Amino acid sequence: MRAVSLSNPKIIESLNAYYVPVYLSNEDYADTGPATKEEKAELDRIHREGLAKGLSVGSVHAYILAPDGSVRDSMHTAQAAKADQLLAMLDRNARALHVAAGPPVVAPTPHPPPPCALGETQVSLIARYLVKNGNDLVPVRSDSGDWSSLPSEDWFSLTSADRVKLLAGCVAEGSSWTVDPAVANKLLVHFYPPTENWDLEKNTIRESALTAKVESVVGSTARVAYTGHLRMDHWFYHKPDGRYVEADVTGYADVDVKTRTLLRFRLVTERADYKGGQTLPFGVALRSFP
Amino acid sequence: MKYVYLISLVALLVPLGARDSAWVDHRVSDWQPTVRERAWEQIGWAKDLRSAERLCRSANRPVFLFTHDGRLNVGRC
Repeated sequence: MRAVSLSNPKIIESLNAYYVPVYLSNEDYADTGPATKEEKAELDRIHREGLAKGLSVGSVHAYILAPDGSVRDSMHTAQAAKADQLLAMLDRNARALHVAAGPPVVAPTPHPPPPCALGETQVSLIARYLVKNGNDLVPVRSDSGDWSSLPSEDWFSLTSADRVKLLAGCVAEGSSWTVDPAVANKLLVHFYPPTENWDLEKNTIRESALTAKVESVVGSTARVAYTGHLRMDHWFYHKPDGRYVEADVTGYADVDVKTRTLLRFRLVTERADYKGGQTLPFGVALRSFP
Repeated sequence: MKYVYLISLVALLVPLGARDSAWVDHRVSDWQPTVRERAWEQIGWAKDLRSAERLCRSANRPVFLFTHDGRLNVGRC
């Protein structure tokens, strides 16, 4: 829905002018989720009221609540992802409620990265499907609304202990080492394409390696080159399907050799395929934020 | 001084095996989300359900609630 209807200019305009938009993740509202009990109770109330009114109700839905909180309308995501259907629902409810157009109630802002603990290095990772264009592979640009329409973005952090292991053999030009598998796998477990399954616990690394070599030292800055390989089971949905990732990765780090500070870290797929059915090329790009 | 910087730059651009750092940087840059892929951030989202309901009462507007699995903000959904 994010890739299609929620990116549609008319829908963005309607939501900002006539509605108070909010989205929530069902994981947060599950029994063990972090949402407050009051939030969970309110979502439960909306589900019950929707059912009582004979509306479509479910976990992946769009709902319209009147200003008094009553449930007025709903639509399954499969329909709401179609811009014309969602726009029609927004228009008919705004008209029926005689809502006056105005500026957004909440100012739109870019979504900030998650907080990173002091002393840790924040890492951003983009994964997206690629398509052949001549001799090159380029990002898929699609309005299909399927998983190829959007890149996925992961944020995580490297602790000081992780950094020590990542830079373990960085002593002089030409020195090389194998990165501690625990740290290599902490990075590589995120190297999978956009799918409905985002649960890292369900990824099983079958083979992995990340090796490093100091390519140069200029002043106090060392340039470390990384190369690696990954074979990892990754189900498309949340159940076993035999699908897996094969990838070769390459990258580099700039390191202050005097302070052992990681100045810059980049790791990308040189070649990556999602296999076990139709083979789908994809790419992953990881970068650090000091 | 400029000469030193130039030498430093050239030294840091040594090949990374088959690929150099510029190639890596290009991939990182080229694969970042585009403005169009971030268009949904132009929507003014409330922070949670009850905040949205409070705002809708004060603004006399309806709530648009979207419930989903996964993490919409990072595209893992």
